[in-house]
Amino acid sequence: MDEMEFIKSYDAYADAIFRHCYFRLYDREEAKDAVQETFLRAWKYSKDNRIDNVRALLYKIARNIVADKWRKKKTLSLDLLLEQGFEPSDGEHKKIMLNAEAKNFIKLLNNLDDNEREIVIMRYVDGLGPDEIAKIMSERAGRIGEAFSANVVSVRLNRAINKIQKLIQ
Amino acid sequence: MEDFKKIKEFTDGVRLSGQEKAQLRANILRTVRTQTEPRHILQWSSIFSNFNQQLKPMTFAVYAALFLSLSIGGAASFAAESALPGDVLYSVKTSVNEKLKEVLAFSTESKGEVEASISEERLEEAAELAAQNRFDGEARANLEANFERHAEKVQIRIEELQNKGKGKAAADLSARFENSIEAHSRTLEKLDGEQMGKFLPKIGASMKATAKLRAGIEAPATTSVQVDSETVIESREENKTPEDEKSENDQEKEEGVDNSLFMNIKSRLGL
Repeated sequence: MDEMEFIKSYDAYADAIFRHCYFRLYDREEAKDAVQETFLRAWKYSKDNRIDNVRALLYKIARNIVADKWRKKKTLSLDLLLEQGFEPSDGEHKKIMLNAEAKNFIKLLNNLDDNEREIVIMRYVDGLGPDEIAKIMSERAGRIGEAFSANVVSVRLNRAINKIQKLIQ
Repeated sequence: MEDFKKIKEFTDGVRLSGQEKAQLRANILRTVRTQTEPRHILQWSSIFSNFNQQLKPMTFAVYAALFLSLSIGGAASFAAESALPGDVLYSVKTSVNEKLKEVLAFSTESKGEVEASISEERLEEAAELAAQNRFDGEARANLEANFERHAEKVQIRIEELQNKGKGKAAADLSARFENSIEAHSRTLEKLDGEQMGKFLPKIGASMKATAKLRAGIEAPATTSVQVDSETVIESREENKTPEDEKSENDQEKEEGVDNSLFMNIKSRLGL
């Protein structure tokens, strides 16, 4: 991947990666840091490896980074976030208060464990299909031979959704 | 809340502002562009312009090492950068160029970075040798041993960073190292060969120690931090205490580096 292609993939996917990281870390600055680190690692990877699917690679790297950050992030600023509402994109306008549904969604998400939350976010926030999610999750650093098929993804997704629906009732 | 698909309508509004996006892009490209390509010809202008910037310690060490190797060893050590085991210039690469990089790295972070990149280089050499059908038993044994040595040094630096209370830097270094070795190993896996089949498990075993270290770093901590205060731009030299200086110099002595030659160089550069 040359620099031109790299810049193109940044322009195409930076927002999506940011969004994914934001919904998992609840912290704008951390999410931005994760985006930066994701693209830098992708660049390094591209120096020695051919890349077939840039988007999948970016999500794979982002997942690892989020996992690292998550393990270090002991205080969840979730309550604070819900009180103050989301920061709008440029921080210049008044803060947008979350509507009730969105608040509920986030609170519910918080009841899932990180793996479940990750799949729900990839499916419903990132809009990735089960096939793509399976590809992204199938090569986890350190774990060799863990096979992820679209079926496995769908099963886990349904379990997570059921969990959420039980909580609503 | 029945229709999960509606979630996207709200969440799509979360994005980087134009300014944020541009800022990150600039940061990323700056780092990308200041990395050297060991196997290509360097541009003189980029070497000298970078002396004036605040660099990450690693890139400064790389530039200084290459600049020095040009003034000391001339074309030989510059050409040695792309040498492979078995080449005439390979010993120049390992004993001169790499030693220089190690010595010129200042902070623990950058020392760790240098060791990580040398370890990676061993794997790149293995790949290149295999591609040229030169990856024999002797080459394999040498590369294994050398890789293990430098991987161990990475681990030492990770531990040092932890002991200094720089948990984030320690975790960053170990994650960066693991990810890149993982990536390199996957490339190597695709190459056939009896020797490769013996080589890769050894590399994996070496990396287990690093992974253990990383798990140790991420064990439940008692302090809770939202944004880690250690996220300082790493291009600034860390403020070393006299104890730090002493222990790093002792370490250099243990590693058998000829300090006198390199001290002269350091002072001539005004370091």
